[in-house]
Amino acid sequence: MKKILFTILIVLFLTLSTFATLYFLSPNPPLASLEQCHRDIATAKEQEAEKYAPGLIKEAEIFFEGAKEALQKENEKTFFLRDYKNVIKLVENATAKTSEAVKKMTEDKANLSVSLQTKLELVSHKIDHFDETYAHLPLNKRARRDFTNAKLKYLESKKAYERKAYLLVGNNLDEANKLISKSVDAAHAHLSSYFENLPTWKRWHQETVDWSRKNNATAIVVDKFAHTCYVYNDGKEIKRFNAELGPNWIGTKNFRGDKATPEGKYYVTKKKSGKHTIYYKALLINYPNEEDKARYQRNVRNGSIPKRGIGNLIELHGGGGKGINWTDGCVALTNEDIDKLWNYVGNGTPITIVGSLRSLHEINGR
Amino acid sequence: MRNLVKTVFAFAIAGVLFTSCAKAPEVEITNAKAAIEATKAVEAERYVPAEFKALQDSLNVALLEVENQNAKFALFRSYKKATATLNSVNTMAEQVKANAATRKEEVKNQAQQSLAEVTTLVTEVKELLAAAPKGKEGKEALEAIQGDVVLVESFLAEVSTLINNGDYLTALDKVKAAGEKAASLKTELEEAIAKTKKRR
Repeated sequence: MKKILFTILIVLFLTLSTFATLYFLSPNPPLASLEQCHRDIATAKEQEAEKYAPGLIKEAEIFFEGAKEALQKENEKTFFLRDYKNVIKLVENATAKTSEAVKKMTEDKANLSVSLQTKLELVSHKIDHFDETYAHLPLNKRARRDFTNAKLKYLESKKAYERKAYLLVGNNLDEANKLISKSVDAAHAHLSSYFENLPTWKRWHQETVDWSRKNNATAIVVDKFAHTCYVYNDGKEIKRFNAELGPNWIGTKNFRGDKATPEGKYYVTKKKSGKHTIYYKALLINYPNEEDKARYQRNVRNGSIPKRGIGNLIELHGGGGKGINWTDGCVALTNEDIDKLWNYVGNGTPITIVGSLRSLHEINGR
Repeated sequence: MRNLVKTVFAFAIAGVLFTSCAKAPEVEITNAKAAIEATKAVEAERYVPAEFKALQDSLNVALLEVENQNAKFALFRSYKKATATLNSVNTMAEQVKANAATRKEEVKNQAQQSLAEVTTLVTEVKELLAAAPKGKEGKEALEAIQGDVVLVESFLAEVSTLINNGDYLTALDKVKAAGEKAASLKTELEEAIAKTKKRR
């Protein structure tokens, strides 16, 4: 009996010893690697790797899930038959893909940040350029609407950029760029067509200055773009004043009520002061001249303007200094300036009104 | 012989008892996963990303611990640590849910407050427009500002839609942009009115 019991105990001891040896020699599951891998994937996702490198993150997740499944499968085996090599390989693959995704995300983010910054500066420059060069001009309402829309979209993009939401910036910024480019191009095209008259304006200016020199007399030239009234005597500039015009001052006057200031070679027909004018002092000019009348007839005939009359009573008068273009087509100086001008002029003094004396390139750099 | 049989029988019973004691915490795992899904419903990923990440980490640690225990010989398994972690995931999830909701509410309030402020600013601009002298001086400038006000208002309408859709961060970007434009319009308008009044 004792022998049997002893044999059983020996067998039991040997079995347990073998079991314990095998148990302690069997491989441990790579849990720390799995934990770290999961943490890496989560960190990458938190940093928007899913948006910048979706394919790589997806692959990393597939490898990680595969590793978990392989681990489970190995754990189902008898402990001494387990082999975690495949699990480790899958974790390594997942980690590599995550690193690749993070690298791509970091590079893409940095590149995007730089390119968006450049684009923001470009759009900002265009907006400022439009603001300084064109916004104060009497352009059509659409140009102003596009400009305002562009500015709103630019500001929104800038706010998103500041909070590093780069992926939200692109669309609005592209839209802003498109709108402001459209506004600038439209304004430039409008002005380019207007400035086709520059040679004529320069000729009129030269003829007026020559007349002043030849007759040793006073002549006036109004540069609408510069909003400046130049006074010449004996061919030399003796004074210059700020001038205010009609709101639609780009382009010549075509008909009554168009709020445009005419362009052409005119002369003073009457000096008005006191109760004869509501603008302190005024120099009435011979608008419309023969050229204006011919153009009006031509335009009415081809239907490009309404048959409203050509308009009259265009003056160079006081009451200015408001900083805006507000007249019905006249040229307004301040009362102080019209006083200074008053004694230089009389009936017959030439007043030449031109669109500009400088080229468009000199004005807007394009 | 009888004693030997008794001993073996006792061992067998003890073994059965041991193995039946340590079971994987399946209920806790299901609950923890559900708790994380619940935090997703309040957009915790978006509003408290760090906390959400910590929560997911904890769940993963618990799941790996379960796997670790599964790998052990039945007699040596213990799911106490995993169960404790899973329970803490549940508690943490509640906190994350609350924090996400609070943060979301904060951003929402911020967006709504900004919207209200800009709306007031636009109303002021409109009042100034209505009170501006109607003479020919500056009429065009006033009309241009009126056009811009309409654009800012349409922008604000988009902000309201974004707030209603729960996209508060984009709404904030938009409302800030509209605010800047409205402020510049107010200044432009005040200057235009001042110029207009200069002559009167």
